[in-house]
Amino acid sequence: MSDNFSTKLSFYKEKVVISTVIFLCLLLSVTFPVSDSIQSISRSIFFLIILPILYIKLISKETLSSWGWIKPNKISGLFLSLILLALGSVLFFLLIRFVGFSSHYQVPLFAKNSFADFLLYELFFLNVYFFSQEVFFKSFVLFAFKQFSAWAVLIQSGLYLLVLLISKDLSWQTTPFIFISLAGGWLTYKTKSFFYSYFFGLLFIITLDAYIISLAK
Amino acid sequence: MKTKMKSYKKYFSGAVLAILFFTQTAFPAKAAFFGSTSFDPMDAANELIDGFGIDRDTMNSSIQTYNVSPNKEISPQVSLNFSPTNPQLGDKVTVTATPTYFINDTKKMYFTWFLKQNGCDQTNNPNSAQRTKCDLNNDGRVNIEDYKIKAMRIIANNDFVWENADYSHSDGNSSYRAAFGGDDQRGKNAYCYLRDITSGEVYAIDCNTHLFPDAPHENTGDGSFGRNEESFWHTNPTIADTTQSGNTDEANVAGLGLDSFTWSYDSGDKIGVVVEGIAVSTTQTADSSFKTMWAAPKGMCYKNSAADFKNVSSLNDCLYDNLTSPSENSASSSKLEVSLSYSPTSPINDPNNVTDPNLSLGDDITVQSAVNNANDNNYLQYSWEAFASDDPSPDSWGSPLPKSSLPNSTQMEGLGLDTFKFKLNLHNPKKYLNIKLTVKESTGDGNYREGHTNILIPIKSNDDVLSTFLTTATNVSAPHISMASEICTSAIESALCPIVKNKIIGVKIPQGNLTDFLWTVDGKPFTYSSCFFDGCNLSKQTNVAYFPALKEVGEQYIIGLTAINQTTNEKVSLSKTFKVVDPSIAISSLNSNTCKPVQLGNYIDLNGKSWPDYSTLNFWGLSNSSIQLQASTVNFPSSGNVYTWIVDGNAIDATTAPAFGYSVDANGVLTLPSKKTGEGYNVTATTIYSQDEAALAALNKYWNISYDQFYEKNITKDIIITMQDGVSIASSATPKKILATIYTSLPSYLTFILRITLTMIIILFGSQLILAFFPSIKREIK
Repeated sequence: MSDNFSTKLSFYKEKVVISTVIFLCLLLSVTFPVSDSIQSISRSIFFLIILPILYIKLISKETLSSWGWIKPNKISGLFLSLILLALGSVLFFLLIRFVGFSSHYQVPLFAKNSFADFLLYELFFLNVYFFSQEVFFKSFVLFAFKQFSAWAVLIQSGLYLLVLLISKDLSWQTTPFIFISLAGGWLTYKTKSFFYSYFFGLLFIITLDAYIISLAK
Repeated sequence: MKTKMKSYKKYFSGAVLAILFFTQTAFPAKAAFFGSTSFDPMDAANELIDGFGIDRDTMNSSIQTYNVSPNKEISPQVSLNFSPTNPQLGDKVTVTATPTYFINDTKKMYFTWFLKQNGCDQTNNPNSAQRTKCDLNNDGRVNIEDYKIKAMRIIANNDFVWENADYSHSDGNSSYRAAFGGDDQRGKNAYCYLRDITSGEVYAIDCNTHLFPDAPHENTGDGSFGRNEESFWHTNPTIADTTQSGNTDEANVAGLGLDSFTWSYDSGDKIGVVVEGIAVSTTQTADSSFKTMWAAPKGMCYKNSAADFKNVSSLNDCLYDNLTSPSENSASSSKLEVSLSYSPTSPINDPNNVTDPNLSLGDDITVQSAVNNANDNNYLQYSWEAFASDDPSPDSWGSPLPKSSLPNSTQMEGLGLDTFKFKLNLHNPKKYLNIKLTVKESTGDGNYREGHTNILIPIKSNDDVLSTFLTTATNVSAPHISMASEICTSAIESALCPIVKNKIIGVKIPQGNLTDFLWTVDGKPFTYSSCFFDGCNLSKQTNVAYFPALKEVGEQYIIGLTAINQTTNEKVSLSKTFKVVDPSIAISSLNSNTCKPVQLGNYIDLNGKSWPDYSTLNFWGLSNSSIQLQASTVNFPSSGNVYTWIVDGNAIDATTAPAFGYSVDANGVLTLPSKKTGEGYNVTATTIYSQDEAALAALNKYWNISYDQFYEKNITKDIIITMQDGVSIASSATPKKILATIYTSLPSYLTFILRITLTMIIILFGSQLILAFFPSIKREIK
């Protein structure tokens, strides 16, 4: 009984600590003072990627693979990614067709000018932001609450939604990322690797942006 | 015997009387009347005609014309119009027939259309493919009947889905009885005619039939249209009018009033029509009939004598010659309508820097083409050629110039090349360039539509350019004016040169071989009361001229020059436009790495060249770097101008600047200390615009401008500097500048990294500390 109580206490203590770290990471990734855009990018990388990795390695003393850092080499994962990609495409096609999503969703003007600028935007600027987000939510948050099984998917999605709400970023512009948060979370939960979610999400956003640009032309 | 004598007497007396009559001896009154002693009936007739004042030759000619007039009567005709004129495969083509020289209303005439498809040439031994596709009446031949059936079946069927129709019975109301000459000739006697094209003679032919297509063993227009015919013509057996046009099905097959025909165009399709109606000329029978005649687009039976045709059915042989394709019929519209334009309007050649055109000051010529009637402008084949000559209309332009002799020229042959560009950097240019363009468009059936045009471009040499100068004046008592700095040398300003009111402007052209100069301002010649500049000659104008800018701001001057080139004896005409503007000053940064104007975008000129468009108000400043600013005049001489600086509301000069942490050096350069990101400066430079005394005296003395018209004016310029970090300000910088920016911001970045690392260490240490009191737990996802 005493051991059981101690184990429970230890479990909850660990969850409280990691929750605090998650909260601090999110808070600092927004509020840590920066003076230019390079520092801003660095801040996201430090608090959303490096700090979670250090926590896993130094505090939890676990391997990264047990936190979703597994190479994506499963056919089933690929298959699920494609299904979600198709599902997302249909969903957003309907949003564009019937809700006028394309008039609310903006692709940066410079990315519309040339294909090279488009690639630069999608594969660098967007990629850095998206990868840090994926590492944090799909690896760190989701696997921190892996004991709650599928609820972990909703926890990390809910947290992402909460961040958007607080930062008043909840808009049509972030709708695709909310979809990716849910769909990618489930994909990570099923495949135990966040890389599927990352590649699926990136491909989905690039496809969506390209389609939105083509509609505008 | 007595009787014989009596008879001789009778003959004799008759002969005497006849002789007397013709010799007029017995009729002196008549002799007097004819005015002749001996009677000549021809003379008499001529005298009679002359007596009425009629010219005999004219009368003979008129009679001859009248005699052949029946041969000159115009036969009924029909012309075709296609829409579109150059259809592509699968296009819906509508062809409209316009009959002329028929009496009937169009709606009462019969239009028999015939459509020949590719591979359906006339043959009496069709192969199996032709039999299937072309022999529509299954008579073992492919001929005009099949072509008619093809077309009239399309008309009668009107997209009715006949494959599922029940043809076991017919509605019984689809019949129509045709009348020769048209629906309005019902009840009249039928007389059919054919005019011989060569002789003009009209031949009567047997009205044995119409030229309508027939279903096997049936006659169209016979007033009977049973289920067999309904089935053959693919009409709706349950209603009388499958086309819903007001005609019964049989009337549609007979082509009653069907002056247009629409079908889906296939490559090689040829179409024709034969129209039956009544001609303008009437028959000579004592009834109400008119001549029933036929017309086809190229003429009825023009290859043979009309005498060879005995009846109407034989006219079918003539119809093969009347097949036409849309493009063939619309020869004029099949030609591509090409037009060219070029810019700039007066291009100038620079014979220098031939080895490096990019250094040349010659104009970039853009020749723009437009094709108005192409089906798809993206798939036009362009072929550009350039010719040169000193004569604008030589007998021969010679060989086209090779691409290598046209510097920076764009591709001259290929798809979609609607623009041709090159640089006027020709070492020994001719006076005229002739740019020729040939455009081709594939019609999809292996043929091409083509159009070509050319445009003549007169070339001016760099030597023939008017140069514009600001001026300086000396000696107040006898003002002398001379040229100072040249202005309006940039491409934009050379087109519309800005000048400031009350300034004297000098214009000049190199003397070269020019003589007999005539300068005009707004069309009026320049005049001077006395000489006040070098090169002045009161008796005649020279290659230099001066004029004062006296108009109000916004108004324009057009300065013109005509001169004679002594070498060629040709007249040279040049002009330049000036616009009066307010005097202004500009503030610029001495170091674009630390401060530069905000780029708003890019201008793109007529040549497609991009020019950066910088804000004159907003500047970026590099945080943590000092900024150096300099003020300068824009459109009036800068010598002697003193500037006052106002920074963030504080007026400063070289003396007071240090009190605010600024400095102003001997050249008037203002140095501002660094500020942090997000902070900034509001900077104003002020100076006074005025005329020097000698210039005022010159304006007064030579152009009678009273002194009270001159004024002094304060000119100010404001800028707002916003301090930014290195990335933002270096966004358009070269790689070296980017490295410099990174280098300058490196210390602050290292500090940032240190701060963020320390924060992370604290978080990790705190977590470790808390968890150290409890054993670690490892769980896997269940």
